[in-house]
Amino acid sequence: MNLLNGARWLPCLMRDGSVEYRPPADMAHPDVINLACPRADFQAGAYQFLLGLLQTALPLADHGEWLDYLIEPPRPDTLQKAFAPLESAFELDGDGPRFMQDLDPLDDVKDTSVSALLIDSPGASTITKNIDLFVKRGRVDAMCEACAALALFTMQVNAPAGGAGIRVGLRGGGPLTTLVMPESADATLWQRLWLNVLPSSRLVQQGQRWTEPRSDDPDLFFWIADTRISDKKGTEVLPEHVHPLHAYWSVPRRFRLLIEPDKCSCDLCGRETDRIVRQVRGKKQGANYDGPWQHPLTPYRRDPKKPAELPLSQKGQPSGLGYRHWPGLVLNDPEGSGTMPAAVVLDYINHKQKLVDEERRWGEDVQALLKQMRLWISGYDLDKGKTRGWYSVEMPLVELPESSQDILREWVQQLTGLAQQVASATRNQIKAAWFKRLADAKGDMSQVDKQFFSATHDAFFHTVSRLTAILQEKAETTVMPADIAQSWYLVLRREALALFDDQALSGAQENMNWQRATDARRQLQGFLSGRSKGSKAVKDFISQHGFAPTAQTEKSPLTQGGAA
Amino acid sequence: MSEASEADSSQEWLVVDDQELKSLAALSLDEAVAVRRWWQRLALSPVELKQLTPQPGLPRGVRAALRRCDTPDAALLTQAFRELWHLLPEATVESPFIEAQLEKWSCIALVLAELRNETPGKALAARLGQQASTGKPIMSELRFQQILTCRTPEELVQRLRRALALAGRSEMSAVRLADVVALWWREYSGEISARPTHRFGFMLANDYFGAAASYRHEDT
Ligand SMILES: [Zn+2]
Repeated sequence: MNLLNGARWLPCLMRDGSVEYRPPADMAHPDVINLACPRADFQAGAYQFLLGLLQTALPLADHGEWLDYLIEPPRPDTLQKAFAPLESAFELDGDGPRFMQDLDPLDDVKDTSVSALLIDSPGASTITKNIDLFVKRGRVDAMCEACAALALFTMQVNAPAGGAGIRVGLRGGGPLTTLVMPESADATLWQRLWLNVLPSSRLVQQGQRWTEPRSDDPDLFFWIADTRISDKKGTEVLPEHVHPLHAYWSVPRRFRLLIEPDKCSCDLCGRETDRIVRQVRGKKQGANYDGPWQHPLTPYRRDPKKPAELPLSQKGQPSGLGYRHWPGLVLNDPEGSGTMPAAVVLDYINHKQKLVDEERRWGEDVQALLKQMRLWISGYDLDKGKTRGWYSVEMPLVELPESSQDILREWVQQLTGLAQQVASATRNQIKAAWFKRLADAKGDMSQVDKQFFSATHDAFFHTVSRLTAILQEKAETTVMPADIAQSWYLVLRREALALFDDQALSGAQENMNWQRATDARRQLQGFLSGRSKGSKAVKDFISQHGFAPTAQTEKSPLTQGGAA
Repeated sequence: MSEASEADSSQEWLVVDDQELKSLAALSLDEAVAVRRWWQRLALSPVELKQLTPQPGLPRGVRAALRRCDTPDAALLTQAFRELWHLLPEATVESPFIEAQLEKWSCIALVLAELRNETPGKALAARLGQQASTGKPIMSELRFQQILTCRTPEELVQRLRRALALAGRSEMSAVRLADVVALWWREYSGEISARPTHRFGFMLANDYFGAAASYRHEDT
């Protein structure tokens, strides 16, 4: 199967709710509103595949060209024509170069099950609506070519750590991917994709040179030439060794799919197929990526105190992804906290957003649905190298002039900073209520943080949108309004106590250690009011923003308990 | 029966102030007002009572008869209980669960009869956790835990009467004391608050250990 010559292999969600298999050139068809992949990690993989394809086949000179395609999406035949010169690099089987596989047939390697292409257990954790419906679980012995292609691509671009000689992906093992998405469920697949396409000049890293993408360029598609084997030192692949677009097409793993003609149904998508993949061959020592890679779809983090060290891609967190990570995913701060959002996110916030707004003011019919944007964050949940699941989380993006971003970042850091402190005090006091000595408390308490952050999630983004509105009105403001600060503080306090009560007080009453439980709750109250020794963060927040730590309307009957 | 005239009603409000009202988990404002007025007429000397209300005190023997009762059933037949019952709001005395109401309020009457002087606002358990001359809480932790695990109304009354004796029958609020009994009854009849901080165990323990916390750390 060739992935670009019109084969109908890409699962698409149609406007009427049905799923149709279509060629990639149909991605701009107005009736295609999303992808409908059989696994959540494939969904994100397929987005990255299409984005890579667009960047490669339709190089953009500038944002003006970007805007043209946003307002008027290309017709399928236009895309088909643009893909044609690349076809030879997108052959999934055959004797020549195979898409993302080793040029060598790997005859010296034992065959293994095709399930080796899957990164374990997506579907176990958070999955966005629409996608989990398609997730099938259980043994995977046979895949159709479409699923095998998606599995292969997803593995190559995410490749988690696998052991000695098994190379991780270009962005490190299991990186996060952040994409800008329209809020509206009605948006077309094209709009979803196009928001994440960059002018070519923005893809060029230091030491790289832009050349017209060609299917026979071994610096772009490694698989059309002998594998860059990494069994020796000095064989590392650095950004300056490759084409700027290679970031989208990295191949750290060596695989060959064994495709056989056989009537069978696919264990992932359930479709009947004539050609099936049951076995693959895999080998160690694939391309070993090293150096200052900055993948356009991934947020990075650097240590401002160690400017010589390489930026690290941001990863999924065992305690979940929540709004506390949001500033690092959307607000550029390489010198302060060291966070560097993905190039596509920054380009959207700093350029595309403005451009779209201006056009709309000029009367251009840029659809209203492109007003509200979300950030779609996905990646594997890796816990000490083990894959536990797949994250797919969405958070709002805010519309904000570049000039106010520093202030917003500072404010948001104050909000999340306070939330972190309150979360950790809550966790500690729940621990204190549960365990005789804190040192005994080795259990995984990250669940508490997860619950706390999820309970305050909506309030956080509500607060951020209030702050943004104020910055849009009065750009010169530098002090967070007291009432907004206070309402955030009150939300945190309320949720902290609710979580504590739920976790520490609601067990069987007769088994309760009341002394520990009530002491811990009193400690937590002391912390939250800014009165206890350890609660400097709360005290500072209250005095910095100049509000009273209580609300008029709040009824709190039990804070007065104890000796009068 | 209620002697409270129209003119007194604004004063009635202040019988239980806001702060105290907020601290109650199981009594309504009307019930709390009834409890305080009744206890004042039952326990205070005519001189003390005169400063608080124009209503007359109950004869000394009324309280004595109540204190001699060993069981809630016996208390039901006393004049003291009848006086209390008549002060209670309609919603209480005309409740469909009249049997349970009668038993609950007879327990409240029995326990309150042991209180000689009150400190409005102060909780029973906070008083029990207070430091005695021995340096330890007035009521030991072990005995306090027994209050938390009472299984029958008789046991509850017995333990609370004992607690009041230890506490010198003073320095706590009659209203909050009645609230403790009412709260216990609520859970005894299977109705447990969804909010853990509004449950019998937590409320008492929070007051007791809260009071003890102010001096306890010096021992350890
Ligand atoms: Zn399939």
